[in-house]
Amino acid sequence: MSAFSPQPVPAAAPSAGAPADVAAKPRTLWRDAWGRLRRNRTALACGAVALLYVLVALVGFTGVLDRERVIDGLATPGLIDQTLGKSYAAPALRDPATGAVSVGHWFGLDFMGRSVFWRLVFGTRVALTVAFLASVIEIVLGVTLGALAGYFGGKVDAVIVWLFSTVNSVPWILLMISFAYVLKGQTAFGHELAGVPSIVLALGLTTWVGLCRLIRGEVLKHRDRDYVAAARAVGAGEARIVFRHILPNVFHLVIINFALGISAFVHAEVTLSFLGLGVTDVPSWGRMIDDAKLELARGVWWQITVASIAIFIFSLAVNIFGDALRDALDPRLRGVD
Amino acid sequence: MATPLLEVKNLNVAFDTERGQIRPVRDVSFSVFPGQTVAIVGESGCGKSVTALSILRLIPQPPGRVLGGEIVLDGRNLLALSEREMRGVRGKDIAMIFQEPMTSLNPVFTIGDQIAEAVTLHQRISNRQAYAVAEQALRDVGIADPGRRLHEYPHQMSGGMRQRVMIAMALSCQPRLLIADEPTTALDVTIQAQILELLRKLQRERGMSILLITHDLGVVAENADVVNVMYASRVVEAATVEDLFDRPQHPYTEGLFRSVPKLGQKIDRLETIPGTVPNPARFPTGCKFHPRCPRTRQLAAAAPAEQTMEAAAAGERFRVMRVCVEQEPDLREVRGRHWASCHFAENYPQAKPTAPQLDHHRPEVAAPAAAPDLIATAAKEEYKP
Repeated sequence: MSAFSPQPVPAAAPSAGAPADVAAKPRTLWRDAWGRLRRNRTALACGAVALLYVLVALVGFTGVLDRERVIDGLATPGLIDQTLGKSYAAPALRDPATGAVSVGHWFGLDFMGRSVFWRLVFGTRVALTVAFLASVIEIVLGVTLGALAGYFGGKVDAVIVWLFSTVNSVPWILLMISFAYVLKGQTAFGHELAGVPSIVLALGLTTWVGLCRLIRGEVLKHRDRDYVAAARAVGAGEARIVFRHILPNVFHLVIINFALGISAFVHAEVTLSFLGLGVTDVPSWGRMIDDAKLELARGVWWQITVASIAIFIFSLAVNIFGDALRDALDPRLRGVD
Repeated sequence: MATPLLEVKNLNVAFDTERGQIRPVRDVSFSVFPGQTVAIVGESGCGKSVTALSILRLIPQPPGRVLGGEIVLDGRNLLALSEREMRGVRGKDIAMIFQEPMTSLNPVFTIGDQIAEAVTLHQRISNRQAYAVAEQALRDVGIADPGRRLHEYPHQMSGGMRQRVMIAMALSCQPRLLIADEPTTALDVTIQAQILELLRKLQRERGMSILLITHDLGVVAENADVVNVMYASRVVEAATVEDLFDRPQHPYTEGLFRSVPKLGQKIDRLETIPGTVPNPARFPTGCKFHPRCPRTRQLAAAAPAEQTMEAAAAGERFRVMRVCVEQEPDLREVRGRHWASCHFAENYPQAKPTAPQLDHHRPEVAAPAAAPDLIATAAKEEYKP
């Protein structure tokens, strides 16, 4: 017997469709997008900034901000401006009265002796609440109506297109004014509808149009695709096809719209509050700018500056992140399908 | 004769377009018996896909409309069912696979999700059980490592594998009839052979019937029991596959056979059927094939003048038999179990216009003996230098 006895060759089982790619995790749209986003340093930085604002807004919900600090004014006012007779104070590291380091004084005090810093924090909470809630209304209305219009066509489509064309044709500011007037003094579920609820409703009920148009176009494109016909051939009903089959294929657009829309909503809130149509009872970024507009001539610069910078940085961060998100989620750049 | 599983009787479908009404399916009748493979052959535009989609009522109702006829499954007329009842039929009693496997799967769901959905739409079982059914279905269609494949996405698979997944989805609820609309047209030839063999195997195992829509005569010759040839929205010939290939009765079928190139032929030009398929909005009168038909021209050359008339097509003028222009022939049983719609088919004047009923199965070919597993036998033998 030779020293070399060959080992028996293990019988290989014949298999169809031998697995060629041994990828650890399947490449989905979300994984691809996340990978692309991670490589974009600027976008990540902007995302971090936006997250910071969210954290600040959450602080705004805690009890740290009591009424007298932000709404009613300090019990011990700052220095009284001799010429103006009001309780301004320039930004300072320490509370002039006590000498201790006081965060509330870092951005100064406004004409009622209220801490600009804490008003800014509260304004962050208001801005993000408005942006988020209005987005929810916009998404629910826009996606549902857009999907129904795009999928069913015919009369359903005609009605919805008529609806959003009409809403879209009315000048936005007029719609807002009418909402503000109608809802003033009304209550629902024990809450007053003026102020934040009113803006949220007004914004949500006017911005759904853009998203609706977008979703309608996308659903129209997907409705004639083969996978829809295949799903129908397997016995899926219409509702199931629209919401479970088509919608996940267009949902990335909703995400992009949401990210970019936040900035738009914040701007809208600022404009409305500035015009006196928005938040009236609690501080918001728009209110701060509104309150401070006359002070600039008298050399009181801190409130309007701080509020404007805060809005600017937030918008910039959200816009850059939103654009990066759009690039990351673009199916054409994916290279698959 | 056994009862047919599916009977299509005088199906008429119309589409309302801007240019008026067109009728892609006119008076189509055929039957499918249990365990049979029925092929519908024809060129693009002859109405075969519309017929198949109409069986499952997948034609969008505006602009499509079923003008008349019956489609009987188990004694129920499918055209009379409500949409809800129809959804119970789709995927469960009758399933369908489509031509384009690359796009027939939803790109954002895993294979397992999609097959499991097909199952849960028709049976009340838990998700876990549905996934087990899906895994077994993938195994049945010959996909290796099905447990892993369940969690993959369509874009991770090749065309042949996607078509197998489509078949798995279609078969997951054990349908009695599978409608295959050009299932291999988009695949390359070797994969085509595998898919067709898979379908044959599954058919044998489950006693399922297959309605095979195709334009490929080779596929028909190897797989079909019964063939219906369609032209210009009607069935022009129906016969068992052996009869059709032995003695085609309709000039269109003859033309199709002549145009298939054969090995060993020494010719300069390939044969074609001159002319093009007629536009459904502007069908010719009488027999829809007469402008392209060699038989009618041959007969007209030898017939007395009053039986012929002039016709024109593609800029040419020629003489054809008058009856071909004036009367559209209906489908008659011209030979035993062989139907044709041509005025000049054998026995046509005496033949009866009936609906084709062909309970025929091609003779079973003994399954080839399993190839000897050479590697395993080699492993057992001792190596003796």
